[in-house]
Amino acid sequence: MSFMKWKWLFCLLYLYIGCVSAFSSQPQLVCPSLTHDFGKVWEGTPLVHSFILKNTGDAPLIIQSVKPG
Amino acid sequence: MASYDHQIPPGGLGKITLKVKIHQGHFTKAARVKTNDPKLPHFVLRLSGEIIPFIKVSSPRIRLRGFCSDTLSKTVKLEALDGSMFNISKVESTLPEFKWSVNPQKDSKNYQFKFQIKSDVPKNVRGKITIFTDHPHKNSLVIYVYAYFRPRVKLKPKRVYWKDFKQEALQRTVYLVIKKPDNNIQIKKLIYPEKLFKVSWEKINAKQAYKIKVVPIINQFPSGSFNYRLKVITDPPLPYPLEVTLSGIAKP
Repeated sequence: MSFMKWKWLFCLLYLYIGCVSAFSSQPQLVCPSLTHDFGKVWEGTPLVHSFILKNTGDAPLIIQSVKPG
Repeated sequence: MASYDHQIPPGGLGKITLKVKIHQGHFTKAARVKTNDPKLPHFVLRLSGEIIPFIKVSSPRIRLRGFCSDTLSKTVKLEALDGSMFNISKVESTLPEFKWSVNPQKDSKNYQFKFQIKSDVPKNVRGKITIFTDHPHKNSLVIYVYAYFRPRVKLKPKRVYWKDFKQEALQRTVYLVIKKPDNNIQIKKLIYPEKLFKVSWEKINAKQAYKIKVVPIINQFPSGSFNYRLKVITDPPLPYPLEVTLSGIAKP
């Protein structure tokens, strides 16, 4: 094979690996509940709740920001 | 307020903790979350609920409106929702001529709290009433009060102006309007620089008002700007001044 053919094959392989890794390695967020109702509570009761998140993907899940509003 | 795990490894668990501060009533609070998940780049978490006060105040914010020198009053119901008995130990207020009384209803779980305020001068009043109690969980209650004491009598306009002394348009008219119709107020005297102005008044019977005509005596004015006051003395006298500014430019 000539040098040019090798060069083309190498480029295609590089693209293939790149695509496969890009599509297969992703974070996936699963949050069982997006809402929480405290119900009726007396004034002065601390209103704190933790939402549990699961990453079912195969790349780290990054929480970039949590903003009120 | 929010705290959260910034990174969750594959297969791992993480959490977002939200903390809210609410004083009373129904509430819904939301937080927007941004992630690097391509399928769920952002989503909203919601918290809801209802805060029950230990002592319910029927009107925590009150607006009152009336004439000055009148007494404005309001009755507010205080109810212990947790069933505890309580007593009112002290009441403080920043409001003018504030007086209060309280009537316990049945057992010491409900009260009718009545207060009154008064002002002799027209003004807007903003203040609060703090009620101190011996309730085990709620030792003070705050009621915010906004009141407007309207003038019983007022002058319209409050300022008359002469741009220049043109013979054909020298007269200015000021109205003394009696806002509270049951008031038998009359003009007793007008105080003004008599050498410079001719002033006369007449009663408009249909409108509970007086018409005051003001005409400057041109030849008495030195050239330049001027600024004088016309004071209205009434019978019975008012606890606040009734004044009109007479100003302008006198040209030679």
